[in-house]
Amino acid sequence: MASSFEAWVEGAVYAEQCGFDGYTAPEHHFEYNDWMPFPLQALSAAAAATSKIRLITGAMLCTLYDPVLAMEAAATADVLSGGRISLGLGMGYRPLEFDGMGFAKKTRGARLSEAMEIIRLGLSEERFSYEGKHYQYSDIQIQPRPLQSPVEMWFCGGTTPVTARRAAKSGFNYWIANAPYDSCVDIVKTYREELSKAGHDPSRGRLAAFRDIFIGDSVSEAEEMRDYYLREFYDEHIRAYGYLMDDSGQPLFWPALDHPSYQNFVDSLYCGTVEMVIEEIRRYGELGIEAITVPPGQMDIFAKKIIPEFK
Amino acid sequence: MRYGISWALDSSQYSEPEEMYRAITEDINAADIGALHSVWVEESRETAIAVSSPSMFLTHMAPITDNVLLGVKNRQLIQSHPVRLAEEFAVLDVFSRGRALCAFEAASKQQLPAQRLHETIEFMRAAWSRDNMRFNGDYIKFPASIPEDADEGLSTQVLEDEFIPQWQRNNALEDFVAIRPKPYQIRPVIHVSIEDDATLEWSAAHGISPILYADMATEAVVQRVQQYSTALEKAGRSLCEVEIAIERDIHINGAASECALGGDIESLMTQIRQLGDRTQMSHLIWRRRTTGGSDLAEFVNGIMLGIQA
Repeated sequence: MASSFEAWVEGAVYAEQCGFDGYTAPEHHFEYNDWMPFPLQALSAAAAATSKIRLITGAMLCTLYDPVLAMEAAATADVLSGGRISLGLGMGYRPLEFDGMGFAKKTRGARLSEAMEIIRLGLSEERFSYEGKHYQYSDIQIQPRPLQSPVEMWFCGGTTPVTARRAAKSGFNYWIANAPYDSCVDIVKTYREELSKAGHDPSRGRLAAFRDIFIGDSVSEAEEMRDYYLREFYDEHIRAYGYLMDDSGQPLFWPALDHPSYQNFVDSLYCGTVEMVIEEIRRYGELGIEAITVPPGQMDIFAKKIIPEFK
Repeated sequence: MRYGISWALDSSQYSEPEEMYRAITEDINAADIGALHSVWVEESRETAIAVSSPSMFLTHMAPITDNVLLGVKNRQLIQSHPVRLAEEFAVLDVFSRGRALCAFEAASKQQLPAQRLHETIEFMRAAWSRDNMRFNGDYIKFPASIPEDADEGLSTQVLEDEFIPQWQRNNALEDFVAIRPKPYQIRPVIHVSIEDDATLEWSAAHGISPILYADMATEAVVQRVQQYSTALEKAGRSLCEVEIAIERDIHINGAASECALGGDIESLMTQIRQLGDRTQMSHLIWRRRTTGGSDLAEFVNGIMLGIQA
């Protein structure tokens, strides 16, 4: 978390200087004065201070917007940034956010798929109509038109293959949430198979992953950092609000520390030396994952020792 | 008195949105350097080249300007959730370190009941100034699970037990919720168009600042503001609580018309002073039809500084 919105923009400038390809803005509501409720608005500020880094919503909680307003905002940010916007779109999970914004949580999966379809249509067609279960639009046009065509879009998934299936069914690119390597292998397999089943070319589906990485001079030093974050950050944000799900897709609130889903999450936080991290990222690349999103805490070491290995 | 600029540009002059956005951006930078007090970007969907998300446009301008107030005008409610409106202006205000302004379009122009607009403004002011709150209105229920027997309008929580952070409350839905971030300013000014009688009376009674847009004839503006001032007085309020903003087309070395001020610099200074005296306006917004050019400098150096002299 940046200490202020200005510090967050400075982070974008620094990430660009460090050679990162993209900078993400997340979305949450009703908590902390320094959190972003509207990532595209924050990215518009970052656009003014940067010139080449991609500006990515990660994740924008698409189910908490009217899709037309969301795409207008995306197009505006795209124009303001000179065509550098990518949309990572998620369904959200915190019950309070749905209740506060007046949207039903139980329809979030279906609404995300429909909203993404609408945004894809609206950002690529001059005029469009859409007839879905949750959203209907007749012959509308959005202003302004985005600079990019198409605007890159990613379906941001959860921690189980359920969302990978949903993304694949509609032929969306898929952004895998924090998952250990072995789970990623399963998710990628599921995603490719479902793309084929749905009649999409499996080689066209693009993959990215969020991956929290802790780098130390030794594994134990990296694990110490991880344990600090588990206590101070993830205990609140991963265990409290139903982010993790069980095998049947039901959200888990305050799962026990030895619950398999929580353990799976802990295992997803990669701890290693620089050499181990380079190797781990290579393994992800071999899976066909083209982008890894890491937390901003160790940008320096990524810039100096890791990014050059992949440029 | 404060002086600002807005734009009603001929979109046929621009082939792409980015051309128009760039032209407005350059004017905003000139306004910032030139010591104008405010810039106002209109929410519009009328042409293929329009600014449908003005708060995003102005948030983009926040890091690259220092002084000028950043105003959204003709803001519409359409599908915007009131929580999003409150958040959006708070974020603009935080990014600009307290330079956000917000002016709403009249409810009748949006084909909405005036009451919905009034509730939205009440809600936004509460969201910015109060922490754990709920709102039980005819149009706004916040949070959605608010009990049916909740007090009407705004209510805030009275903590009876020990405070427990929301993340430790075992995921119970909250009766009272804090909207964040809070704006940088303690009380950001909200303006509202007073074209509708119901809104004129309501805004005066609640101390909400009026804005009169450039499409209204100048004499009608004077009349509306006088009605507003009477209503304000009747409500026991003072003009010092509000900011009367008036937008006009101004034709420097051109002709005056029903809706526009016009003439040479000396004549315009007189017209603006007279309008100010008749309305007690505290913010004049010049609606420009072009960008760039020398007229902005003439406006600042000739008219604005001339009146201040």
